[in-house]
Amino acid sequence: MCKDQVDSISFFSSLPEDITFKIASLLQDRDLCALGSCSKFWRQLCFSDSIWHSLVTNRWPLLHSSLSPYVKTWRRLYFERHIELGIRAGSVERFMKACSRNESLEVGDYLQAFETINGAMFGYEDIQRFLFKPQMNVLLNLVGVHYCIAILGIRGDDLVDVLRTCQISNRHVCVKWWKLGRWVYGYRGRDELLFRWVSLGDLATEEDGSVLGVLRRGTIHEVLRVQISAVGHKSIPWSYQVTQRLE
Amino acid sequence: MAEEKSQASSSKMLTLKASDGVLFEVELNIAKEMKTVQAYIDDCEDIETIPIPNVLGKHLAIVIEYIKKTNEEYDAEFEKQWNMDDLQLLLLAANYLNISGLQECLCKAIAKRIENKSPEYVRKVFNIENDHSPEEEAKLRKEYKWAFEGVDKD
Repeated sequence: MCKDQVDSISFFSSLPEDITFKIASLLQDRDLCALGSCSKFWRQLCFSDSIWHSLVTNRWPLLHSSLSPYVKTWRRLYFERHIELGIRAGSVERFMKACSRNESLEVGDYLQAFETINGAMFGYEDIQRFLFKPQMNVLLNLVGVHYCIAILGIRGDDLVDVLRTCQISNRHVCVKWWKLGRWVYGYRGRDELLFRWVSLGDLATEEDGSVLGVLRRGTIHEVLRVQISAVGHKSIPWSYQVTQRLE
Repeated sequence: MAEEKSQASSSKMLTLKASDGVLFEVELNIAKEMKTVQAYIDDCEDIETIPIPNVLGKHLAIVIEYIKKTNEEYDAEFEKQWNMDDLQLLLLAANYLNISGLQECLCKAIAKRIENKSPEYVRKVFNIENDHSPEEEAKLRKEYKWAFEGVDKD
């Protein structure tokens, strides 16, 4: 194959603008920056506001409608929001680490972390990029999975596929909760310890949503305490006589 | 009625002549996928051989095969076979012949080739000359750190 036949300067200039634009508009944010750094021609094309406008609307469909388009360029907006969400995720990770004892987290702190993510209106892509990293604590992955199901309405096979791609679907968490013993004939029975040891993939496909329900409700009514840990179920303390593993 | 008509037109054969003289006999309905050829036929109804001056025989063969076979599976495999030069020439051909499906497929293929690559790699692959001054380059590197970090090894 004769390399001389393709002179790239003439290749791209003999294509109509809408085709070079099309190629640029198929790129992810990072690749767009890479291509835009190559030459003046590509810089002008890749950093044009219309491309970044569609990147903003695709990634944050709800955000764009609440903004005045004259405040800043779409490109600047995209960058700033991306960085802001990254910082937010980082602070949640640090918060969860600070609150953990022996890799376990109390549900109150877990829910606070969840609310921080919810408050920032993370999108699906944001969760994948910032919370679904295998090198992060699994509890942070868990917040992401919980958020996808409860807030974004993404569950089942779609979610499992994404978890697999991010290589976190087989990570496990253990959720333990203590229920107040029931009163029977004037005597209070023993408090019950229940636990579930689940993978993130299982959580995504869970039909009855019972584990997430426990997390969502937290300590309420007869539930005294809820604890989430990253460790496996072998190390659950057998300090209560009545333990019940839910199938 | 419509069935009859399409049957009649689909059996009609047309000859396309590539820039290097290679001849291709194709069915009319295949040729019509190329909007440029369609326009040619609309202008001169009785034409039998249509010249395609911008496309080499090698690439016209690929284009015709694409039109015959295209489906999702084929598209996914299709784009893997060609080197960057061929992809670029095929895109030029698809653009000239005005075949939107093929254009879309090739744009995607080209975009995919530079996925997660450094600007240096992209310049090499696309044969782009760096006309930025060192100051501009440094500024870009700083502003778009993203593009320069954690990419695939060249």
